[in-house]
Amino acid sequence: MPPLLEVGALGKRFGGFVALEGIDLTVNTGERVGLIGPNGSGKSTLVNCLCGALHHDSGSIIFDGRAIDGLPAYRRTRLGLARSFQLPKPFRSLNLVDNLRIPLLYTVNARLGARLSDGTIGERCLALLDDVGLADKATRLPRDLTQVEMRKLELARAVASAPRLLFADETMAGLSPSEVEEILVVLVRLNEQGITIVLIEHIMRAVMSFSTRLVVLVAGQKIADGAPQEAIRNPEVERAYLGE
Amino acid sequence: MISLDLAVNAVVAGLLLGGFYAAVTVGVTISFGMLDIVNIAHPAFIMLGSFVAYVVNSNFGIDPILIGVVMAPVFFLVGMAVYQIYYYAFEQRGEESIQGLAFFFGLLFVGEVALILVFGVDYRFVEAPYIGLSLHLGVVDLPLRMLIPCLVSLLMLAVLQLFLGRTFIGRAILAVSQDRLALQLMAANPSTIKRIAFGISIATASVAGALLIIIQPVEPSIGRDYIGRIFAICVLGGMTSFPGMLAGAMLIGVVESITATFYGPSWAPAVAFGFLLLTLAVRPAGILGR
Amino acid sequence: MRAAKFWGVSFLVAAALLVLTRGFFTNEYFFFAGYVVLQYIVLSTAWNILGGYTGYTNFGVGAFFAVGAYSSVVLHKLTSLPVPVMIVVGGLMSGILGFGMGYLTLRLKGVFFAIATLALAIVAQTFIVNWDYVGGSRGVYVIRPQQAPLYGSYIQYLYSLMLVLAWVSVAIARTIERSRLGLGFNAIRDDEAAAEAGGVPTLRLKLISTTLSGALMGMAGAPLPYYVTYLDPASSFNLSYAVNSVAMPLIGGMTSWIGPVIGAVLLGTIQQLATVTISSALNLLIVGVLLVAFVIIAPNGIVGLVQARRRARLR
Repeated sequence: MPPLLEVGALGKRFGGFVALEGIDLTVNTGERVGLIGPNGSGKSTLVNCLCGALHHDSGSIIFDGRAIDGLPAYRRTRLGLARSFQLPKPFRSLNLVDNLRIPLLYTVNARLGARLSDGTIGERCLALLDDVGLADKATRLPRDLTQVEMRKLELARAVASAPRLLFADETMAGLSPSEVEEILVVLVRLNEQGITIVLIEHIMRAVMSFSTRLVVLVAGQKIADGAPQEAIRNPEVERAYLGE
Repeated sequence: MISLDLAVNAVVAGLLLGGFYAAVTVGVTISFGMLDIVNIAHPAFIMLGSFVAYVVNSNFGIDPILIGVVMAPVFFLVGMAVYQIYYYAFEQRGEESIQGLAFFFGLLFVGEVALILVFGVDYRFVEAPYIGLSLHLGVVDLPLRMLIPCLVSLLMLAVLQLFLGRTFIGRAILAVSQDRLALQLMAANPSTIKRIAFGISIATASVAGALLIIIQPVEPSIGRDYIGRIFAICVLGGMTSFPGMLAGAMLIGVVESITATFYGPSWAPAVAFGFLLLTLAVRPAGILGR
Repeated sequence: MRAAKFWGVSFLVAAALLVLTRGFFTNEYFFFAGYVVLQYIVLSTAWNILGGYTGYTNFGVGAFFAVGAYSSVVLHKLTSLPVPVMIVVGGLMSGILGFGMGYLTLRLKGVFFAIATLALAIVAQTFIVNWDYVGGSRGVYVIRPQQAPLYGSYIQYLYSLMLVLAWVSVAIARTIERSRLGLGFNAIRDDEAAAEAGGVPTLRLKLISTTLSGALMGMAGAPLPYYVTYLDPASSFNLSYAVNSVAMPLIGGMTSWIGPVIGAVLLGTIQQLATVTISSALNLLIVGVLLVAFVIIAPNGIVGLVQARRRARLR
C-alpha cells in the first residue's frame, strides 16, 4: 500500500536562517508517528509547510499519491490533511457548535458528493463535541473553556474536517499529567477510528507511549527515524537533548 | 531636455523635505513600529503642534522651533493620557483591532474638525527671520525655511537615537518592542514603559508641527496628506530602524519633489501612497529589512 | 426567519414606509434629508459586510462612493439613461474596484490593509482630479431632469430609489449573516489562519466581501450627481464618508444587519438636524466624538448593549 504522505528533501529558509534542510519523511496509513526535537528544531515549521501555512522553498510533498506543493492550505484540508494549532485558535465569537460547523461546511460539504443537510451537520457537531467531552458546553463561547477544554476543541475542530492525516501540534503543552492522559485517550481513539496521526510533542512519556514510530528533528535536520526505543538510544539524539 | 538646474534643485529640495519627513514619521516609528499601536491620529497631533506654534508666534513673536521644543513636554503628557485611555479601552480588554483603529481614526477626525471650528479653513503661517532667506551654493538653492527644519529634524533623530540606545528607559523601550514577555519576567511593567514611549512619540509631534508651519502655511486638513506619507515611510524604513526611516523619508521626499516639479503638484499626494502600496505589495520588510 | 421570508417581510415594510412617507410629507426638505439618511444606511451596511462581518477595516469608502458617482457623470455626458441603470453601472464599476483593491491588498494584515485602502482612495481621487472629461478639480455641473418618472418631484424620485436600495442592501446583509458565507466571513474575522486550516477558501471569500461591499457603496453613490447637481472630487471623495461609514456600524453594532441601520438612522438624523440648526462642521465633530466615545465605552455598539442587558437578565 502506498504511503499516505511522502515528503522529499524539504527545505525552508527565512532570510539567511535555514529552518529546514533535506527533510525526508514517509507516513503510512494508520501509523502513529511521534515528532520530537528541541525548541527551534523546526517541528512547527515542518507542520506549517506540510499543511500549507508556509511555502516551502525546495523539495516535494506528496499526499495520497498527489503532489500538493503549490496548494493553499484550505485545499490541503479538503484533501484530508488536517492540523491542530499549538496555541489554540478558536473562533472566539462563535459558540462551540459553530466552531465545528465551519470545517463541516467548508471541508466535508465541499468535497464532491458529500452534501450534508443542516440538521445532519448540527448532529455531527454535537457528536464530535461529545467525543471529546464538551457536549454540555455546546452553546458556550470559547472564552468559557478551560485550557484543556480549549485543546480538546482544537482537536475536535481538526477532526471535524474528516481528515485522513492529522498533525497534532503540541496539544498537551502545559497540561497536568491527568489532562495529558485525557488527550492521549482521545488521540488513541481517533487513530483507532482510522485517522493517521503525527504527534508533535515535548512530553516524552506521552510520545513514547503513543507512537509506533519516532522521528527526531534537530536544527532543521532529521537525525533519527524508527522504532521509538531505538530512535531514543541514537547517540545523536542523546547529544541533542542532553548536550555534549 | 530636462533642465539640469531644475532637476538638481528638485533633488536637493526633496532631500531637505525628506529630512523633515523623518521628524514627522519618527513618532509613528515609535508608536507603531516599536509598540504596535496603530496611531493613525499622529497627523492630528502634528497639526495641533503647528497651530500651537502659530498662536504663540503670532501673539508673542517667539521662534516657532523654540515653541515646539518648549511645548514638547505638554504633548508628552497628552500622549501619556491618550495611551492610558487606549490601554484601558483596548489593550487591557484585548479588544479586536477594528475598535483600536476606529478609536484613532475618530481622534484624527475629531482633531481636524476641532481645529477647523477654532481656526477656520484659512491657511496660517508663522513669521521668523530666516523664512524667506536662502543660501546659494553654485546652482543649488537652499531655502532656509527648508534647511533649518531639516537640520532640526536630524538633530531630534540623533537625540532620540541616543536616548534609546544609552539611557535605561530608552533601552527598556527597545526591549519592550522586541520581547514583551522578557520584560515582564524582568518585573518591569511594560505598560508604564509603553506609556512613556507613546508620550515621547506625541512629543515629537510638537516639534514636527512647528517645523511644518515653517516650511509651508498650514490649514487643518493638511494632516490627511500625511497619513499616507507617515506610514509609507515607516514601512519603507523597516518599521523600527531610524536610519531606514531616514532613508525612506528622503526617498519619498525626492520622488515627491521631482514629481511636483516636472508633472505638477496635483500628482504629488499620490506619490507617497503609491509608494506605500508598492512597498506593501513587494517588500513588507522595508528597504533595509527588519 | 428564513431568508425568503425576510426578503418578503422587509419588502412589505419598505413599501409601506415608501407609501406612507411620500403620502404624508409635503415638505421637500424631508426628502432631501431622508435621501441622505437612506444613503448612509446603504453605506454603513456595505461597510459592515467587509468590516463587521469579515474583520477588515476599509477607510477608502470615499473612493467606492465617488466612483459610483463619477460613472454616472460619464454616462450622463455620453447618453441619457434612467437612474436605476446608472445605479447598476455604478455598482459594477465600484465592484470591479473592490475586486481589484482586494486582490492587491488582502494579503495585508489589519492596519496595513486599512492604510492601503486609504492609499487607494487618495490615488483614485488623484486620477479623477486630473481627468478633465469629468471636470477635474473644478468639478462638474449636472442638470437634474425636469420631469420625474411616475409622479412627484425629482428629489422624491431619488428618495424612492434610495429607499429601495437600502432595502436591498439590508436584505443582502441579513441573508449573508445567516448563511454559510456569513459564517465563513466570521471565521476569517476571528482567526484567518484557523479558518484557512478549516477548509475556508479565505482569499476567495475576502474578495467576495470587498467586491460586494464596494459594489453596494458604488450604488449608493450613483444617484449623487442628480442629488447635488454639482460634483467635485473634494466633496465626493471626502473623508467624512469614511468616518460615517465606520462610526455608524460601530455605534449601532457590527455583528448584526440591524446595527448599521440603527447607527445610520441615529447618526444621520442627528447630523441633518445639526447641519440645519448649528453648523455642518460641528455635526462632523459630533460624529467623531460619538465614534471615540462608543468605541471606548460600548465597543459592541447599541446592539451589543442590548444583548448584554438581555444576557444579564437571564442570569
